[in-house]
Order: sequence, then C-alpha cells, then structure tokens
Amino acid sequence: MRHWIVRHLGVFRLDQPSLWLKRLFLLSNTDELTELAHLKIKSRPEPLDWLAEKLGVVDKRSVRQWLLYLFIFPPGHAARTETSLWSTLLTLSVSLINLLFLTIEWIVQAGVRTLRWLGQQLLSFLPAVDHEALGRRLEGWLETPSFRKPLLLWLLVLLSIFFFWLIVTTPFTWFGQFLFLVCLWGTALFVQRIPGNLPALILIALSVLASCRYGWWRLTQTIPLDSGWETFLAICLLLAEIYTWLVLLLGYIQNAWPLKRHTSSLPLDTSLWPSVDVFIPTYNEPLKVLEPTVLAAKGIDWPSDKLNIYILDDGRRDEFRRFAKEAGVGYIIRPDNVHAKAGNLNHALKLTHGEYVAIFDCDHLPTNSFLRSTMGWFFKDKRCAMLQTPHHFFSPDTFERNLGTFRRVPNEGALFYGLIQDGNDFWNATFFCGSCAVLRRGPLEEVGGVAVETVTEDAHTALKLHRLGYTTAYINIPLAAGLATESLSSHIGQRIRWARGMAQIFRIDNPFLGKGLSFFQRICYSNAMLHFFYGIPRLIFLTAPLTYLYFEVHIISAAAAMLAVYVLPHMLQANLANAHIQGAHRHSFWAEVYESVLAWYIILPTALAIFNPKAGKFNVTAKGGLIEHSFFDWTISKPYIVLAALNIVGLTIGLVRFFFWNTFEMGTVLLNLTWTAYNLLILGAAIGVATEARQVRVSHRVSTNLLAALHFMDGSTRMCRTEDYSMTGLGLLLDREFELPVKERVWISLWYGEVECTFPARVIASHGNKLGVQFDNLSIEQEANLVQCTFARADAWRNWSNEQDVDRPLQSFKEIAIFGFKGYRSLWRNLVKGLTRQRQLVRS
Amino acid sequence: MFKIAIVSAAGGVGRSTLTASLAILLAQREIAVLALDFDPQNLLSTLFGSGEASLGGLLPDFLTKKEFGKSALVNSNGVACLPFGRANETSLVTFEQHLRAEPEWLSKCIAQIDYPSEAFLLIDTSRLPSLYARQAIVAADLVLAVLAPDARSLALLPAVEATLSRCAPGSQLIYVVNGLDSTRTLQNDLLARFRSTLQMRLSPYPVHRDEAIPRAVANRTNLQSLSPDSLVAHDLNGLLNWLLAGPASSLDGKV
Ligand SMILES: Nc1ncnc2c1ncn2[C@@H]1O[C@H](COP(=O)(O)OP(=O)(O)OP(=O)(O)O)[C@@H](O)[C@H]1O
Ligand SMILES: [Mg+2]
Repeated sequence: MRHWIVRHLGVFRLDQPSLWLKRLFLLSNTDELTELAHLKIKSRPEPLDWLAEKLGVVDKRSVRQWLLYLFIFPPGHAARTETSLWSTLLTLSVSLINLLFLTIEWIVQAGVRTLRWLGQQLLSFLPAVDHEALGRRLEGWLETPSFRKPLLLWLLVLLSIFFFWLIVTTPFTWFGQFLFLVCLWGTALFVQRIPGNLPALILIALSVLASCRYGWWRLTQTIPLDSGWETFLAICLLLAEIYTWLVLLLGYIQNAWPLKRHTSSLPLDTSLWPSVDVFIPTYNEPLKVLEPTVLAAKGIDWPSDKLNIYILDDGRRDEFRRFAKEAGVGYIIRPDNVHAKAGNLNHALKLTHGEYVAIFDCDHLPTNSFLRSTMGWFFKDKRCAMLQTPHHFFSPDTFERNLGTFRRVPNEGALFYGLIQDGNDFWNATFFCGSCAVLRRGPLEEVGGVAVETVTEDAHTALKLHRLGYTTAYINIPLAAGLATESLSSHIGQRIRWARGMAQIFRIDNPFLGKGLSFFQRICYSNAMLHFFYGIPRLIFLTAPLTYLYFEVHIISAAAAMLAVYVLPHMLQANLANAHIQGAHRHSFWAEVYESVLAWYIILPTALAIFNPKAGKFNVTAKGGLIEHSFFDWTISKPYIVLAALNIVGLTIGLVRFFFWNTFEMGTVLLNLTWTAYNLLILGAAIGVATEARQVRVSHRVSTNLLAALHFMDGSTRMCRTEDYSMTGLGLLLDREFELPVKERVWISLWYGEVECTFPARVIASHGNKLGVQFDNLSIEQEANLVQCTFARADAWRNWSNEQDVDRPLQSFKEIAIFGFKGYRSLWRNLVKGLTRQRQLVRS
Repeated sequence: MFKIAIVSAAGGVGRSTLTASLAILLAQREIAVLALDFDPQNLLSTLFGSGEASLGGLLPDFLTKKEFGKSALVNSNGVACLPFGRANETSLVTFEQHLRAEPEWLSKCIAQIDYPSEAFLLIDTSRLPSLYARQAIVAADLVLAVLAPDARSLALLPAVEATLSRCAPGSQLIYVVNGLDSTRTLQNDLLARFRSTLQMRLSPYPVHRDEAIPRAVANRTNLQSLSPDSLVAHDLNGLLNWLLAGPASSLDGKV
C-alpha cells in the first residue's frame, strides 16, 4: 500500500510532511516524477501465475493491474492467438460499459426533451403578456415623485424588514412550504421575462427571501446534535452552505445595478491632452508575442509627441533591445527581478514622466482607439485614478478548446469583465486587473507605485487607491485583446496565483478593516476575496451525499421531502435570479464546472496564504506552447478522477440501498442519489476539460470578415473578403471559384479606415472559392500596418459575443450533462489506450 | 440635370476612362445619363463600344447649324453619348474663335437639351489649360478633377484651383485619384499627401490601376460585366456612391 502511494504520488521521502502536502495539492513537476520500471519477476508456477499469464497481468503485486486486467482491459490479440472464454468475457465487459455510456446519454437527452416540452405546454396555457412594455412602465413608475419622500421610504423599508423577518422565520408544514415554493417560482418565472434592472432587483429579493428561509430552517431544525461524528460532518456541510449563502448575498449586492459606463469625449483641442507612457512589461515571452503588441501600441491614436512606449524587459535580452531600437520605442531594463512584474513597473515609473501610464501585458494588443475611448473619463472625473477595460481573448481558453464551446458559451472571464466589474463600478470599486488599464501617475506614486506585498499586485493597488479616496472606472468595451492561456495546467497555475494573492490581501490588508473605504466598497472587495475560498466548500458539496450512501450517516436531520421543499426554492430562485443578472455572461451551471476544476488546487495556496501570507512560491504556471497531439492530462485530472470514482461507488451502493437495504427511507436515498448523480456530471465535465485538444497553429487565427483585394502579377485585381487573419497569413473568401497555383506571388490590400495597406504574400492553398495566403517577409512598417488593419482596428472586438447562445438553464444543463458523459468516455478511452501502451512497453 | 465636368491639368490621367466608366455605372443603376465629349480628340465614343471615332458630333452640327445634340448615340447599355465629331484644322479654328467670343456657349446649348431633371450629364474635356475645359467648367455644377498619383499632378494642383476660381468661382471642385498602384510605397505616400492637402474634397475611393480597364476597352465590353469583382470596379462603385451621397447630392433641385 505504502509502496503504491509512493509510486503514484511521487512522494519519495515518506517522513517529509511538506512533500506529501505538495504532492497532494499541487501540480506535480513532470521531471520530478520518475516512472518506476515494472520488472518481471521469475517465480514458481502457481495458480495465480497461471491466471496472471492468461490475463496478461505483468506485475502481480500491482492491485491496479489486477483490477484493470480483470474488469476493464480488452485482451490484446498480440498476446494470445487462441480465443479463450476469458478474453470473450473481457471484451464483453468493455463493450458493455461503452453501451452503458450510450444508454445513459440517450436517457438524459430524452428526459431534458420531455421537460422542455412540458414547460412549453404549461406556458401556452398562460395569457400572453407584453413584457417589454411592462418593463418600461416599471421604470417610469420608479421615477414618480411619491418615491422621493424620505419618510415614506423609511416606512417602506421598516415594513419590508418586518415582513421579511416574518416570512423567513415562520415555520410551515411541508404543504405550506410547497405552496411557498410554487408561489415564488411562479412570480419569478413571470418577472424573469421583463427586461431591465428593476425586475432583476425583484428576482434578487425573491431569491434572498427563499435562501434566508432555507438558511433559518437549516440552522434551527436540521442539525443533528446528539451524536459526535454526525454533528461534526453536519456542521462541516452547514459551514460550506453558509459560505455559499454569504457569497450569494454579497454577489447580489455587488451586481445589483451594473453601471455600464459609456465612453466620455475628449476636449477638441488636442494640446490639452495629457502625455501618456505605455508600459509593456515582459519577462520570458518570445519576441514573436511582444512584436505585434508594440506595433499596435505605436499605432494608438494620440498626439505622437505625447505618447511614449516602453518595453520593460525583465529578461534583459539583446534581441529585444534591437527590436525596440528598430521600432523606435523605449527599452528599459533593471539589474534584478525583485517583485516581478510589480517591481518592473515601479522601476519604469521612476525613469519616465508621462502624466498617465497605460499598461499592457506583452500579449495584449491595444486597438488604436484605446486612449481616445478611455482618457475622456480622466477629464470628466478629476479624482479618477484608474480606468480598466476588459481583458479580451481572441483564442479559445482551455475550457473552450477542450469542450468546443468557443464563442458560443461565455467563457470563465466573461462574468468578471461582463458583469462584476460593471457592478463594482457602480459602487466605485472597479479593480485594477494588471493590464489594459490607464492609471494617473500622481495617485499611483502616492500609494508607492504598484503594490508589491502580494502576488496579485493589481487588485491590491486598486485597494490602496480606494483607501485614499480616489475613484476608479470601468468601460466594458474590449479595447485590447490577447491570447488565452494555452493549457489546463497553465490555466490552473494562473488561477492559483490569483487565489493566493487575494487570500494574501484578505489577510494583510483586509478590506473590512482599515480606513478609507465605503461600506459597499468593502463588500465588493470582500466578495472578490471570499470568492477564492470556494475550494473546501466545493469539495464538501462534491462528497457530502457520500457520507450517507457509504456510512448511512444523516448529516441533515430532516425528512427528505421536507428538505426538498426547502432547498428547492433556495436553488431555483438563486438560479433564476442569476440567469437574469448574469445570463449573458455566464450560462447556468457553468460556474460549478469552472469551480470544480480548480477547487482542489486552490485549497492549499489560499489556506497557506491566510496562515502565513509571506510563505513560499507557488508559481507553477506551466508555459505550454503548442499542443501538438491531443492528450489526456492524467496528472492534473487525478483529483477529479478520485472524486468521480468515489461518487460512482457511492451511486452503486445507493442503488443497492434504494432497492434492498434502506427501503424504509427511500426518499432520503433518492435525494442523495440525485445529488451524487449531479456531482458526477459536473466531475465528468471537469475530466473532459483535461482532455487537451490539439492546437496546431503557431499564431492564432481570428475569424473576421474584412474587405481585402488581391493584386496579381499580371496587373489584374480581385476583391475578396477575409475569413480569418493572423500575423502570418490570411484566409480569403472569393465570390466565385478561382484556382491559383500554389506558391504564386500576390499582393494583398487591407484597409483601416480609408487607408489602404498592401502586403506581399504567397498562395499556400487554393480550393474552390477559398484561398490561403502567407505573408512574404514583411518589413517592420508592413507588420505595423498589418496590425493596424487587423488586431488594432477600433471595432475589432466590438461585436465579439453577438453570436453567443442565450442562456437557457435547461439547455445549459443538458450541455453540461453531455460534456460530463463525454468526459467519462474520454477518460475511458484514454485509460484503455494508455494501458495498451503500457502493456506493450512492458512486454517488449 | 446634374452637370459634372471632368477635368485634369495633366494629360492621360484617365479623364475619358472615368467619364465613360461613371456613365456606364449610372446607366446600370437606371439613372439617365448623357456623356458629352468636349475634346477634339473625339475618342470618348470608342470607350462606349463604337469601333472607330464617330464622324458626326457636336462640331459638325455646329458648322452645319444643326440643333445641338442631334448626333447623340446610344449604346446597348443605355448610355447616351454625344461625340465631338470629326474635326479638321480650319473647322477647329472657327469653332475655337466662336468659343472664345462666347464663353457660355456650351452652357446655353446644354440648357436647350430636353433631358429629365434627375439625369446626369458628364462632360469629358481636354487637358487644362484649354478653351474646351473652360467652357465645360462654366457649364457644370460640379467639377471633378482627376489626379494621377505622381509628382506631376501634385505640382499642377494650384493650376487647377486657379483655373476654377477664374472661370466659375461658385462651382464646387472635387478630386479623384486614378491609376493608383497601391503596391508602390511612393504612390501611397503621394496619396497621403493629396489626402492631407485636399481633405474632404478628395474622393475616399482612389481608382486603382487595373488591367481590367484596357482589357475591357480592347474587348469592347464594359468593365462591370467583364470583371465585376475587380478592385477597380469596386473603386468606381465607391466613387459613384460617394458622389451621389456627398458632392452630387447638393446639386438637388438645381436644374
Ligand atoms: N485605372 C486605370 N487602370 C489601368 N489603365 C487605365 C486606368 N485609367 C486609365 N487607364 C488607361 O490609361 C490610358 C489613358 O486613359 P484616358 O484616355 O482615359 O486618359 P485621358 O486623361 O482621357 O487622356 P487624354 O489626356 O489623352 O485625354 C488609357 O489607355 C486607359 O486605358
Ligand atoms: Mg481623353
């Protein structure tokens, strides 16, 4: 057993506890993990040996091999030629499991379809209502003068509090509670269709009501207090629930009224415009990544004597210095790398003098309208110290790539940049996000430059600015874009850093303590930080039903039906309210997937940061480059696989309990079974994300429809449109079929505004009316022009999410369910594939 | 009738080509159009598909005292063209004397033709300075000056401006670049120069140099049907849209 653990976790020194922690909770370093060779041991003939030989088990001491070869592994033909009873049996089990996957998938699909049909039938009975008109009427109603009287308002507030308390604390019978559920749900379904912010507030109120009522009931009536073990587990679950309840409430406050700021105009006289320094910090990124960013920054539409661009190279590379000279931009280096990016920025602050500082990570290309769209606010609001714009990604992130949801389902960042920042902005609590932002130099220097105490220097800097009474702003228009993290491991690494940094701030500069913040700013900051503590609660939810299914421990002491009628309104209302508020930025149930993938990995960093904010480095960001072959990331998915296995076993036991052992409390079993099944789906989706899909292109292609023209060598021309573009080539779409020889030289025209730019290129593919061309040795001016015509266009990212699907909770659930199954299927296939390879390796 | 004179200070920059192309485009959009060749070279009709330069035209009509516009031809695209007509040295001398004596001769003649009020009249001229161009400028509501993307056109820019302010100070003068080879940096730079000096008066659609134009003339077909998706076809469409939406729209109501 010990040997097994050691081998599989890579704990090579058993007596070193830190190593255990590291191996369990952190991503392992592949080069540290050395595969132990399987040795074939000569032994006396034994019945066990015979079986092992028949099955193909090589290492007889490996329990895993026995299990796998017995139940899962299809017998290979290379090993045996005679078809024995054994092998037929084994093949059977393999195809049986495959069949099982198919059936379950089909059943779920059918179930969702009937549910949707039922819903539509129900709706068709109700009278049609013009929700748009109602929304307008509601807004008008708010404006009426009767709402302006403070006395009336206070009276209303007091009354509402009284009724709220009454509703939350009055105990109902199960039937009463059921009626409560139906009433709330009906109201919410009606209100949900009215557009606008006021209905969102009504939905929030309903949700808070339902959740508080559930919370009150849970606290007062469902804690088993008599037995020690049970009570302990129950309290764990309760704490996890309180955490989610708190985050839910804080989130509602944070997003109650998203500000949705527009751009503000600049004075007509350009001599009044301030000078701006553009900082592009870089450390180890290749020049290929930095180059377009610098060229895009150079193209920013701003008086050229007031725009200074600096490359802040912490890698101190000659190649970069040469490029800076060639491109005509500043180049700043420093002797050491203390405090990483924050230190780099602070060093540059000392050497430059612009009134404003714009910061772009080296892979974020600004559009040419960046400053024109943002700087207006600094004129309008003299206290404004920082303006943030969204981080937009034109390549799919890991989730989008591995699940195939690019530009269809809002990605993980969409919620933060689409809603939360707008919500923060209303409370004057916009966070600085490290890139794609403009800061006023004065206030920044006043707080001592970019914060260096934590690893999320950006959020901490904003906090310091807020404490001094400065304002911040957010404009939700993508004015810069970059590449998303490439692999799951780098994604996790990045999130670990955020989680750790937020936990550090929470510990050393807690937003609830200290001076200078308004109450709501405190709430916004706290929610942002608390949010990263979801690790343990999420794990508790993923395993809670198992306590009953495995050990028959009742951690909620209530009848299943009662629990159902209490918990359902809580979940339903929260879902409906969130679908209304966040629908465009986060589809229902996706939060669960995003969190489950990270939950395991952020526990230790956050916990450690709380106990010892100065401790250790956790920067495990694995810089993945191209993913040349699809592969399954076994290392990272280990925790999900373990959790999934536990849940599968639980499900099986649960079925036995349902039919044989616990027939006296079928309701309870059913509830726990449903919960487990749901957990399994979410875990499946998480496993699916670990199947890294192939990514072949060196420079990512952005699909956009732009006007282009081809100039041929014989002097004729042809108009066309682009299908996609990148720094290296274009995909073109012609009106009619057109064959061109490969390698043919052409020139391509692209436009930005009225200005036409031409680029030499060669045909690399010609097929029907489609043409692929590759640029031919562009000069640096031509590259700058190319960036201007493509990535840096003012409207390049404007309508990016227009084609996104709208959020429909059922649809979303179905999608996640399918991803869940696909995840297991992929796990299964990769298991079989991996084992075949291993067996062949051992055999040879 | 919207009257547009197409002029240039340099020769061979594509006045006739633009006149013919715009006329054909207008006709395709079912807008009545008359192209008037006011250049003794008498070549405009060849750009509308006629095999050789027309014998009849406004000069012979003038000499024989026929009504102005009697010898207009209409091609299969529905474009009407009034050729200059064959001229010889002596007839030209007489004609030019008459023109010198009566600077508004063309204006008056045009006023006589009975044409729908929303129709377009495009007048091709010989290169400035010239009597013919001057008459056309006086007659026109809008003067479209053609520039080549070269140093010559840039140098001659003040001459065009001066002529216009002398002949018809009230008329609107706009510019278009023709024959642009955008793969040449020098030409792009010159275009940028034109843009910065002329600003809104320069058409945002420079007409590119394109083999499709001489090819269409050689094949006696029109450009739009020979290579509809060529860059130059796109440019001409853009130019016309710009004219109709901007400069030419202000002609509304003027008859
Ligand atoms: N955009 C273009 N692309 C290619 N060739 C062109 C273009 N425009 C004009 N040409 C060619 O240039 C030559 C001169 O054109 P055109 O006769 O229209 O000029 P013009 O200004 O009328 O000359 P002239 O001063 O002789 O009257 C013609 O052969 C024509 O085909
Ligand atoms: Mg001519």
